[in-house]
Amino acid sequence: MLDEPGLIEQAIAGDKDAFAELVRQNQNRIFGFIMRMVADRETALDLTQETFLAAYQNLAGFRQESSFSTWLFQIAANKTKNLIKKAHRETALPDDFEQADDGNRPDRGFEQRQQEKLLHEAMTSLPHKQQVTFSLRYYDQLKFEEIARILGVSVSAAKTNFAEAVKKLKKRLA
Amino acid sequence: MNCRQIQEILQEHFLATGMELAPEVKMHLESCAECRSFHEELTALGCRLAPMAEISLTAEESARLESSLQEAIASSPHKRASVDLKRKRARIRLATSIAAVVLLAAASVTIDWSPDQVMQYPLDDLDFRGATIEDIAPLFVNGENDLLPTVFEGESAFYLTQQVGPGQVDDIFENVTSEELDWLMKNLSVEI
Repeated sequence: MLDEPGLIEQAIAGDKDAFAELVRQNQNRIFGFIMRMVADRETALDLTQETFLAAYQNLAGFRQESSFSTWLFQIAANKTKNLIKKAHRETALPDDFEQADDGNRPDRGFEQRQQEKLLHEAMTSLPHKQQVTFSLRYYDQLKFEEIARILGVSVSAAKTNFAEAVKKLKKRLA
Repeated sequence: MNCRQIQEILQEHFLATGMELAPEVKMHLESCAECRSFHEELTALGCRLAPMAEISLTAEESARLESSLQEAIASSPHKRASVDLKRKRARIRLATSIAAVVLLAAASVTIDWSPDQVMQYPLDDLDFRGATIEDIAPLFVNGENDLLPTVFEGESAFYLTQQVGPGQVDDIFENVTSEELDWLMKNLSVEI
């Protein structure tokens, strides 16, 4: 089994199986990241596909100065931002959220679904940069340096974004 | 360490996987009600955030993703080869105007942008202000997929972000007035 740089090299050379392996290795993280921002599985699935497609199309330009997943997060963050901007946020949380949200766990009770809905609302109410920063840091354990590169901000700005997001989430979810 | 430093540390180590506290921090928490309360608030927030920690694709979604991606990759059109000259010229003109906007904007964002923020994409070392259209066009025209029609929709924001710093693209287009754009389009002449 090739390591990540090996898979990338093979994929650049046109090996579609190598790229498929890269997709398999990263799809849950990218899907989870997008899902936290759009709160709809179908939309998240579409954006995940768009993210990987954009990565495939631009693979030759990827110089491996950051990890492949960091690069994917950057593409996903841009795609999600564009979608949310287009929808002016009001459609980010669908009416049928409870059905659309979580196909993984059909056994959840009403109260739990309500809590998750509140959580999604709290997350999607954050400004984009705070949302991305919080999600990448808290859930994906990225370093602030990596987040700063993804968002094109300073490391201290990334830390401030995180602190602000925590403050707002505490308030909304108290 | 004082309370502010302790709370900064607590916040920076606030992760879905849990917080591992250094002995020094633990000792401080034992003796400081304010920081203890701060820590408890974070812990409570962590519990509320837990449902989002384990989002993953179902087997069916994963299969759908794989198959739709394969299809999309297989049908990636080689648009550049089939684009007729007129259309190509129109696109290059559009690229030129966009490049000009970026050119202007790059100067205005220089204060916030440093080269070390540039990610991996063409022309990393290029000084944007001295760039020609031949230098800039690849930012907008992917070899396989012409992204120009959606440039303002954000598809090519990905390329732009590599050059001017992710997150600054919107600021750029929002900050350029229509008069500035008109002026740039009028004054920028390009040999095609």
